[in-house]
Amino acid sequence: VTELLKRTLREVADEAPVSYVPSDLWAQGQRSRTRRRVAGVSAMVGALALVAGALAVGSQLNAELTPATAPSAAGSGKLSVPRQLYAPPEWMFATAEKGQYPPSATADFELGPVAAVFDRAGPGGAPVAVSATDGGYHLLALPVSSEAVRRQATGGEQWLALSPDGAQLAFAVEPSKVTPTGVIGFVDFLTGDTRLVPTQRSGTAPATLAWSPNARWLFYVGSSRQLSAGPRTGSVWGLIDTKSLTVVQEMRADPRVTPELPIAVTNDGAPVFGSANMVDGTGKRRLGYWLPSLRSVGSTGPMVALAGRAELRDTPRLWRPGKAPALARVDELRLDFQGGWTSDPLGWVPPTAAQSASAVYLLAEKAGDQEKTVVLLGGDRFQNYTRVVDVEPAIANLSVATNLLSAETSAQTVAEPDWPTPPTAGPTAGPTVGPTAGYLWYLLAGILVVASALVVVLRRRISGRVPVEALSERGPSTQLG
Amino acid sequence: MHASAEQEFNNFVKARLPALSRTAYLLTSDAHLAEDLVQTALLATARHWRRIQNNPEAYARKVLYNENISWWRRRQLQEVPLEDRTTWCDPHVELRLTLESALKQLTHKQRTIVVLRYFEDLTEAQTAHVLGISVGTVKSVTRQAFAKLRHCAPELKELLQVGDIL
Repeated sequence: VTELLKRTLREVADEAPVSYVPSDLWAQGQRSRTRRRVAGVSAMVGALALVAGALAVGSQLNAELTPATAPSAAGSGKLSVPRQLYAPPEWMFATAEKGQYPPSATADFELGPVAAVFDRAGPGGAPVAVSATDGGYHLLALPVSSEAVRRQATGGEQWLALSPDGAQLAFAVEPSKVTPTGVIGFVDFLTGDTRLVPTQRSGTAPATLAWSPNARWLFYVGSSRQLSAGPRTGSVWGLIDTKSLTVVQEMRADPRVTPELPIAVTNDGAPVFGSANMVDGTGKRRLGYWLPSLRSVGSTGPMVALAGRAELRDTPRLWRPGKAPALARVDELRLDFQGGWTSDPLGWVPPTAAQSASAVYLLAEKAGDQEKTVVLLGGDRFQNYTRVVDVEPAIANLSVATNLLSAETSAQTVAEPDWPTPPTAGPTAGPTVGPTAGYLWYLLAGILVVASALVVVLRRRISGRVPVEALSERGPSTQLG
Repeated sequence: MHASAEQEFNNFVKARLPALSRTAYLLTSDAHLAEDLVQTALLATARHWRRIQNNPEAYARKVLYNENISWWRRRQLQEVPLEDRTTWCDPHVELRLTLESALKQLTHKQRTIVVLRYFEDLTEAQTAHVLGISVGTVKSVTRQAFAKLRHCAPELKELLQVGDIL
């Protein structure tokens, strides 16, 4: 049977005419090979242009959504506080309607560790967070009214407090007609979560906040006022366990304690008011030495540690528990600190194995020239000083992640961020093609090149004709077979 | 080197064109389509000559088989008999003509596999390798092809017992 089939197939095949092939088949094959190679290279170039255009557009859109990134901090991979802190331009804080946050403010708080949080003097209305990972500046649309934020920002107290590790922000909000109790808000920059913790007493207006060095406790002090926004009737202080986010203690303070007094809390949750008598939370127990010009306190962690705020032209006074106050005269410091400087402690650096003495970061401010800088005081008598962060004068209510501060940052320089372009152009500015439009042209060119290459390769398939139609045209060439 | 390659290619075409034409005719059952198929296969052979010059015929035949099936797929041709079955399945014509007519009723894939198996004398495994399909597919398509032949040419029924063929 198979033999019959095979024989039949052979007989059918023997009747087949020998196909015609043109004499230039080789040349056509080589031309076809060249065409396909050119099309392949074109497709590759087009694909690369497409990818590059898409990446450029993506990065441009990302840059437009993110207000600005400090160039030297970006990509370093190490958490740090930038060498310079800049205040975003005023127009970025403009709002369309009263009570709203600026359009550039973000409610996506999953920023990663934050190096610093501050208000911009003047417009305010949205605090600014500076990322510790890439140095990006982010206006924060906190989960409270923008007007309440604006009132707090102009109130003068330290209403923003960044945890020493930069992971959480605490902010104080006064009571209003809507919320009869004051509120302490928490923003977790690692998860993006927010929580509002109301104070225990109605009418408590928290004003000043302080974290314990281990970020376990938040100490707040404020005033107790009537709902009708009447005069202050006294001071109130409270303590929040940040693990459970509950107010564990809130009570009226000693009459000598005012919300303007500096405060600190230890890792064990022991609150301290910085008064001339260095009283504890009850205001009745004297903790240390009397310092005539004391205004600020700090905590190194396990022990109560107090820092005197002093005018540096006089004598900065820094005190560690168990020891006599360490005094350093200004002539022992650098010359550029002579005259007109005042300072506030920003945080303490606990003693390490390499350095037995603790150090302290101060925010030094020169009133006349509106110059601000963060300095690190160290040494046994705090006689050494290093300028670690320069702060633009327009920055107010600065709170720094002190665990991320390092004297090594002094060698770095950070250029001013590339702030986005204001939405309205000047009167002389004509219509211009923005950078995004330029990248879109690249993208369009890539798409065209890819499409052209595809058309070349698939031309015959698209047309639906039999391949090598040119070969079927019998020309004057001779048949090879 | 270029001229030498061209000469080698021309020699190959001269030597193998009749054999390729026969196979193409069996695959397509049409002289014009067979010519297009041969030209396509030889053009592809010329294009890749440097890479396949050690065994150009195997490459040309592979292109032949695969292009035949691709054309059919691409153009979505419908196999429509031009005549009534009782007309072309004339029991009085010669056996060979009957078989030839019946072969035309097969699909391109069925005909390609029949040609490879019974004209080129390839085994099932070799057929599967050339077409890039499984041996099971070769078996099943062959079975379908013979079933169709038996249906179209009942006089060949006793000669096309599946058990004898497969």
